[in-house]
Amino acid sequence: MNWIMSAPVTATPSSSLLNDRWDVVISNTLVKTGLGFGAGVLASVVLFKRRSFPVWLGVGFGLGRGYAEGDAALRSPTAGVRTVKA
Amino acid sequence: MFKSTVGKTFTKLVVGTSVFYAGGVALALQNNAFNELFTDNVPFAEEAVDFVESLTTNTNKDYNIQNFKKKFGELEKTFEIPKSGLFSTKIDSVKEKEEALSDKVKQAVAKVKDTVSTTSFPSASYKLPLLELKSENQDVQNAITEFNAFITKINNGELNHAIDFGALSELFTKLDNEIKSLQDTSSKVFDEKVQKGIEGKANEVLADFNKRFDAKVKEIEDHHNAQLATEVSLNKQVSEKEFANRAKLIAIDAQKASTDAVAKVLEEEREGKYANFVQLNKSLEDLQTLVLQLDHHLDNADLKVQLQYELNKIRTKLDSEKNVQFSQELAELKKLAQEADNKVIVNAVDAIDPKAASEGLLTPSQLITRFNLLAPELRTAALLPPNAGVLGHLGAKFFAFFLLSKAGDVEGKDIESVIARVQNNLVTNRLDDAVEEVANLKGWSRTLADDWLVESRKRLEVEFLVKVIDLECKSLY
Repeated sequence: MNWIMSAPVTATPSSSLLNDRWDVVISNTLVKTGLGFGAGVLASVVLFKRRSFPVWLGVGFGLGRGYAEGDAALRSPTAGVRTVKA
Repeated sequence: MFKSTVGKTFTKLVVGTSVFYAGGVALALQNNAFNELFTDNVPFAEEAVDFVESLTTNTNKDYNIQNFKKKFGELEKTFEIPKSGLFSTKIDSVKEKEEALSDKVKQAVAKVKDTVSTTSFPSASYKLPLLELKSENQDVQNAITEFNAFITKINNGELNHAIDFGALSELFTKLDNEIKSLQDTSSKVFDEKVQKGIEGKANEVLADFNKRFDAKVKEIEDHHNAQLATEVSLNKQVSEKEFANRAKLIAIDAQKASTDAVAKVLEEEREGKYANFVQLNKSLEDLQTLVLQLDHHLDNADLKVQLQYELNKIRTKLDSEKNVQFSQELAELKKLAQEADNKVIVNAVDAIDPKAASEGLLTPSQLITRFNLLAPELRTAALLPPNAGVLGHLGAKFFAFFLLSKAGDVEGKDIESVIARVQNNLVTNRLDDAVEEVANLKGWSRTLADDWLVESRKRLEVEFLVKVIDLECKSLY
């Protein structure tokens, strides 16, 4: 197992290229949905006397945004995903 | 306008003529065929057409003043006035001119008449010259005297036509005969002289030629005799020397034959005594060659053994179930190949990736396991539509559950057949066929299998080069 220890760590194995993209898509969708949910709750409490529809609306917006960005990310390797230079 | 019949008729005629000409000209300007017909058959038609054409084309060359001058001559005359001015002279009338002309004619006629009347033949001023030729021939001299007497008569105008012309004719005949006889005589004399001259000259030339010929013959004879004497003496000298040379050659041959005979006798004597030594020397030389060959073979065999030993160590490591590095064995192999000065093995060792040797290669079982892990991904990726989005990927994952797996050496281009063939090849240790199958995949499937292909190719390369080294080692002898 010595060779494994000394082998350089590759960025992404070719077999997990698609899985990595799915990770990005799902995490992005969760974030956007969460943001929509938060905005909906805030709007419901502040503006709509704690009614439920702003929450569903916000969740819907988040899901839609996540789907759109995820679709673009799966179609093109560079679309919709921000790259951060370490 | 005109009330009378004549006036009406005249008017109609004028109008009709004008219309006819105008229409004809207009049509002629438009149609070339009609133009030709019109200008050829109608009087003044050509002039009319030309005039209208010149008006329309604005080139009035035919109707300028110069052309009129050419046609009708100068209408006015110009005179140059000298600087001294003009002097008036009397202008004779026509009648006076006629009178003057008739007077001149009369005078000319009178002058001609005078000239005619005063002309007489023969004039005293014309005299024939006398012949002054002095001939040796008496007859010719007489004829010349008579001829001169006639000329004197002619010059003095005393010639009697009746008598003198007869005598003159006779004289001419006589003169003619004399000239002929004289010509014959002179030509005969000339021929004789020429013939005599030619004969004399020929005799002279012949005598001269004979003299020179005799002299030349004698000269050649002397020269030939001298040359013959020289050649005879030279030949004599050559033959004497040749005989001397032959005698010496015979003496040399005899000496050589005696020497050879002595040498042969000596050689036979020596072979008789030392024949065993020669045979021994030959046997020793053969033994030396054999020993050298044996030594060479032994060295080669030792080298081969060492090479095979190192090669077997590498093979063992390649076939083991663990990933172990084999760079040390590779270095030993290279060292032995350099000692043996075998470039094929050296190049083969150099071609092996040092990284692969230091890190080791994936074992066949590891390759099988990795491919088995990769197979579900390949199934899903094979169902992806081109440029698939979220729905495309989800659909591919969903429908991948319904794919029926295959096993063994099955035919077909679908992903299940390919996976089955690859697995079958890997199990039966045909890595090259498995790599070929995977390398022929397209799209996402090929991309996902890229790492597996790289590792498999590394192993294939090393296996191939080890096989090459093995073959080279076997062919060392």
